[in-house]
Amino acid sequence: MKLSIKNAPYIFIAPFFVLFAIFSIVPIFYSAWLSFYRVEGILSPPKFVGVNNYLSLFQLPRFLNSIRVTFIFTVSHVSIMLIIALILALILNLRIKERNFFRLALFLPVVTSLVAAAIIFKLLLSYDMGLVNLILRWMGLPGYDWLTDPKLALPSIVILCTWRWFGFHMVVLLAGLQNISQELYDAAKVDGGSSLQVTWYITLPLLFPVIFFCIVISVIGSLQLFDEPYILTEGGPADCTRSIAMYLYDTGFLRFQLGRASAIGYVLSVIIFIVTLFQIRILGKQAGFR
Amino acid sequence: MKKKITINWSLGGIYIVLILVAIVTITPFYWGVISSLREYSKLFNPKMWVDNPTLENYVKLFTATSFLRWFFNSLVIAVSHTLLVLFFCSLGGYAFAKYEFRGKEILFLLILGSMMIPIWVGIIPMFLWFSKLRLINTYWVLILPGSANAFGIFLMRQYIQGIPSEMMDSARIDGCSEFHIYYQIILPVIKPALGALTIYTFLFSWNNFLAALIFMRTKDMFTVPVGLSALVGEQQPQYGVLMAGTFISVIPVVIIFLRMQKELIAGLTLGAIKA
Repeated sequence: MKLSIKNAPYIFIAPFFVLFAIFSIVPIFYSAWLSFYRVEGILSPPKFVGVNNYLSLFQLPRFLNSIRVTFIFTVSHVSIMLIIALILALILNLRIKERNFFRLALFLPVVTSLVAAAIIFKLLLSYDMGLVNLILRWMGLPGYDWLTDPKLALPSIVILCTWRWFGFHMVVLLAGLQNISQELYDAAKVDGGSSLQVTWYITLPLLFPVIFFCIVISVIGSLQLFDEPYILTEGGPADCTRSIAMYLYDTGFLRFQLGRASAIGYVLSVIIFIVTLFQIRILGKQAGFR
Repeated sequence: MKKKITINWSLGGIYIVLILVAIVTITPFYWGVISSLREYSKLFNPKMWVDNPTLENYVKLFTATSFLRWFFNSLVIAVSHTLLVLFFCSLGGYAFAKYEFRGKEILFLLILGSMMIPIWVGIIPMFLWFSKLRLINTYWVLILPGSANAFGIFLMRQYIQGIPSEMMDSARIDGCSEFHIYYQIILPVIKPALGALTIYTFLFSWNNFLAALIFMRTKDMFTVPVGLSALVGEQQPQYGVLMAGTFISVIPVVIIFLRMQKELIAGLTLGAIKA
């Protein structure tokens, strides 16, 4: 077949649609079908149970707990991380000579794999091999069981994720700040605004679309939390760090309850969709989206 | 006079904050490296430095585990996946940037919409479906999915839109075929964007965990992250060996990052700010 100006674009975009159909569309429909069946193990025949998989989920304390864990994580992680990222972006936006050096140093965790970061933190937070407890003991404080204390396990994961990701959002916010024209600042300075006032009344509102972008993508990522608790705490202690995705993995790949696990996949996607829509409704207007 | 002093004070404060944060981001790496140089018995109740550094953990890593094989697997997968992504996404982005065709807007929205689908929705049947396709435990299962992806097509379209169309038109008059125009005119001028996409894709593939964890079933097919996570899960994890493996797995990424940080940050902000 010969490419002409008419058919060329279709051929050029065909790889996306072929691969998307095979590797995404088929599993998505297959998953929808599975979620209406009871499947215990790969070899047993599926049995139709209607919406039972969905209904029974909401009576499972472990599933409800995973929703709670995921939301507590998302809210604390996103707010702490973005506040840190924003402050650092504002600082780096001042005319600091070593800006490139600091941007590099603070971005480094972003490029390391989640698994590598989680393994390093496993050692860092370990009770008797970790640096954190070493420093605490130096200061005359007791060491803590960061990863096995039910009160500290989830905060430990928040610390790891914040460490890993703040540099990414800092760089995005910094790029947004550099898009704001200098004249606006100069005008505000002439009018006698202090730098805090200028930041609060001029910079932040102008930066809001970028902040909004950071909120939306970090919430979407946080709701799918998996790698970090998988390595760091294995969902424990006592399910304190078992996120929805961890629970899905547990149900599908360790207990082989494939129907129920597929239903969890759909519930998780609907949660992500609703939360994102909600943010666009509430915050999107201020950010200038519709 | 007084004013100058306050300015210096606040500038000093800013530097102290920045240096503290930089210490917080760098220290975990430092701790990982020095832990990899410790003897097993010295891991407990450690100090801030190493007294008698040893390479025994690295020797163990290469002799007692399949780390080299995992490293090779990760490399083959990341390189092939990246090459495919560069080809498919530049081709797709070019079509959306420079051609007029029926259904263009809808197809583009469809592609962007695909970014919204979390992998979790289809992950369970993916395993069953990919075993039917005989892809489980092969390199293909990590190379093919996502090799034509929305992010890459979007990034390429943004960049190619800025290229003047005259070059293509005159090439057409000269009787150049459509694929030749892409190959000989477009590809050479979009090198900066390809650079950004290369790093981004390589990092993603090199660090990818979930898919490799689920689809790679035997030890000899593990990628580095999956292999390391298997070592963590052992009865008594050898932390020194683990840190050695972690450190080596981070090296390629850090080298790429240091050499190509401009492209990385440019690509990231192009994607983020324009979106």
